[in-house]
Amino acid sequence: MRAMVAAVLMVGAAVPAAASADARWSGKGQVEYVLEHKFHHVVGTSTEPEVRLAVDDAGLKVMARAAVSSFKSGNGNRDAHALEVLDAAHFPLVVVKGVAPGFKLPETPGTIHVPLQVEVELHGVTVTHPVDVALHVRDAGHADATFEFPESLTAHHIERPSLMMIQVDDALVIRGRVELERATP
Amino acid sequence: MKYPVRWFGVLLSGALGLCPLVVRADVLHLDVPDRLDARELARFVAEADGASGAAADAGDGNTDAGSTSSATAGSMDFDLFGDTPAKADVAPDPEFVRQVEQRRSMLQTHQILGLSTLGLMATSVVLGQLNYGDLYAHGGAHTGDFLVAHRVSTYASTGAFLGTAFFSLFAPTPIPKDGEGFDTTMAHKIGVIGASAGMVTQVALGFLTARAADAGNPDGLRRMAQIHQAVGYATVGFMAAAASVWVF
Repeated sequence: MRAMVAAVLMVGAAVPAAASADARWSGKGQVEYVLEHKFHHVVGTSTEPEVRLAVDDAGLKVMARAAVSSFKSGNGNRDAHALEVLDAAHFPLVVVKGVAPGFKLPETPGTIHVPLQVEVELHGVTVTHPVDVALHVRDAGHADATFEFPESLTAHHIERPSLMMIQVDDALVIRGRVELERATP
Repeated sequence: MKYPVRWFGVLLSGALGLCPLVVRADVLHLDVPDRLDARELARFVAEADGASGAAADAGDGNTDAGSTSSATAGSMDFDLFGDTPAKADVAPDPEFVRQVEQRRSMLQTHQILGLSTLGLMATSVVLGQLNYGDLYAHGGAHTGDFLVAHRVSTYASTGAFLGTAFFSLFAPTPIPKDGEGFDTTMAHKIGVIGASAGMVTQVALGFLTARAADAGNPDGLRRMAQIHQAVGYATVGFMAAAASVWVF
């Protein structure tokens, strides 16, 4: 009996934690927006995004958020103008939620592409679309996620800023990299 | 006539109701994904949130990808942080909104006036050069043909310059700018300060030049004209720099 218990414990220890159900992960990293104007290529970076993941038998749920004011483009005037355009006083956060039904965490280290259906809330307006996230699992407790997807400013009811009477492009590219860590139960 | 009018109203309402959806799909350029079935998505979310019945019903057609908030409200009604404020929790501040709109309007006007001022200044420089060649250069015809045109263009430039400054200086600043050292705005301000100094100098030189002319001092007049010419070129240079920094 004692030998059986020991064997069960050994097998249990050998199974990667990632393979178990009901896992919670959290992460931090860097997210950028890329905005194009005839005269400018603007990259605004935030190092303050928060990310949470929940994986269970049904699949994956992910949520990320960052303060609009945390994005810095290297030009204080432009950043202040961005806060005005995005009505940051009224909508201080950009929030992304995503789901991947049927998702299972890989049992071995490696990179997989996770098709997420995401809901992006920006300027108080939510837009839903699919996003591919590259998930690199380093070990049972650590992973990296990289992503890049376009957003439409007008879809979020954002009046496109103009410079020299020329408006910025409607497409806004969101990209980033997040380091994830499995939360201890 | 009663029924046709009513049906026309119904058809019109339907068309108007559909228009936003058609426009939105066109603006977004989003394709319906082939990876995720809407019903499957809604069922998954419902199961995950412990609200199986209602959300599964919502999957009958309300959670198609490519739709906006109106079509997907509640489809991802979860908060993994537990403290994310809901949109409705934050009430808009009418005064803040008014200031933001006023600032945008004033700075747009500032841009238009600023570029117009630059054009007027360039015109003044060209006319000033022609006037200088006519009155003070060796071999000048001394006709005075460009005197009035140069004077009018400089007055117009000065007025436009003051108007441009007004729309910048008196624009409200609802969100204070973070101090990040030297940036495009700082470069613009340096250019504008240089141009302002040039404008003030030109006005002062105008009085001094007039005094030299009244005193019948041709050498002093020519020297003043040369300084006026140099300051004029420098002023338009500063103004061009102030405008062009936005391009880089």
